[in-house]
Amino acid sequence: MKHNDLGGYAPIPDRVSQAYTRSALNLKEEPMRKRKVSMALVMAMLLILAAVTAVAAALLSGREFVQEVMQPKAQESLSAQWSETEVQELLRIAGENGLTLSESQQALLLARGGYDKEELMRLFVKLDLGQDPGTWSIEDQAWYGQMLMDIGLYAENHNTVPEEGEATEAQMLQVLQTYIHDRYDPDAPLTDETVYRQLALSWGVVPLIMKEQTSTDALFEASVNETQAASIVRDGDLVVITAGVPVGMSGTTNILKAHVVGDPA
Amino acid sequence: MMNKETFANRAIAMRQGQYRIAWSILQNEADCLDAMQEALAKAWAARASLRDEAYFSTWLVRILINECKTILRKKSRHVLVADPPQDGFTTDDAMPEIQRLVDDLPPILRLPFVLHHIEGYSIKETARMLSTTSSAVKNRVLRARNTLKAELGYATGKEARGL
Repeated sequence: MKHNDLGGYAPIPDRVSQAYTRSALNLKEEPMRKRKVSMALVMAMLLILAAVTAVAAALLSGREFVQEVMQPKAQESLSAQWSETEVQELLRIAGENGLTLSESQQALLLARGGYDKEELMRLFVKLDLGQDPGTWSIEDQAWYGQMLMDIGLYAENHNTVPEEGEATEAQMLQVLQTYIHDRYDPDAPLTDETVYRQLALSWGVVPLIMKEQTSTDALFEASVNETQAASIVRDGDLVVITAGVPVGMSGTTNILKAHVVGDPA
Repeated sequence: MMNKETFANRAIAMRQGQYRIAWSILQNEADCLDAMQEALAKAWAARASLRDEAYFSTWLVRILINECKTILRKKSRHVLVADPPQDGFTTDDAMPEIQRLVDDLPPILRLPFVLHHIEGYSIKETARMLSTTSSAVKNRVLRARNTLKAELGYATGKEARGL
């Protein structure tokens, strides 16, 4: 709310304006170094860089880290929890391999003092395979379930790869699609605006209609994007998202997520 | 992190506002330019610490205010002699009435008033720039308004409502 009649207060003199503009346009890309860097130092740095690049090639991925470091470590004790020293050591090794957890995950970790074995392993696997285990390939899901069973954290593994003579993933998908198509009217309109109109009458509610999403991750992302586009929230705002799995079915609300707009899901 | 071009353009776009804010503290053209350039250099060197570009303007203004205060502090250590005349023109003559009134506000009211009413920052943004609370800003802005109203001969809120 700019008051135009006050616009006359302290107008910037031309010479100040020009001097400032010149300074802004002449900013140096890097802040000036106080010391001169010697050629020898540059050579040494290049060598270190080369060495680091060589090591980088041998770094473990999130999945490999879980498989080669965390799994053997998990099998050392029968507990379902990591001890604090174990967590510290694992985070150190992970860091050496360039694997880092987000700040919020780390804070949670330190606050608890201990950590669920499965939960921490899942965080690292997610770095590679994606946030939603349901979207991992069935081979990856099978590997993960089998590993938990080997460690003794799970009694059985429901995520198995189809064997000889069993239906393949593609066949199962086909069967399900046919079933849904036969059972439900494929022409029925999926967006019913009744609820939208009713919500518009509720105090403090701003209803928006968005495209249908197929996964919870996509749903969260889209809902944040839509509200942001509608200028209801902006980057840095803390929002609470609620939804239901399975997505697209009413009456299944069972998820509550606190999310900071602009952060990756 | 912001690139050089975006950074420079956004800073340049804010130059009038920055000058007003600096003026409301320093009331001297040369010092204002010093503060603005110093703030620009510091902000640029620390640009990595700005995590959200949406806060660029409040962030830069905050740095500017700090620079102005540093200059004010340094000046207080010098013994003041009369200002030499500036290039043959005196600011007092060219100054519009409103400028004189705003400049006459006590410093503690002046800066919040300029930030909120002239520069258009919200109460919350102003509070963040001044490292104080929203209610303190509201209070000072109101006092500034009432002072100006009284100077201009308008009735203040209470009197206007016949109380």
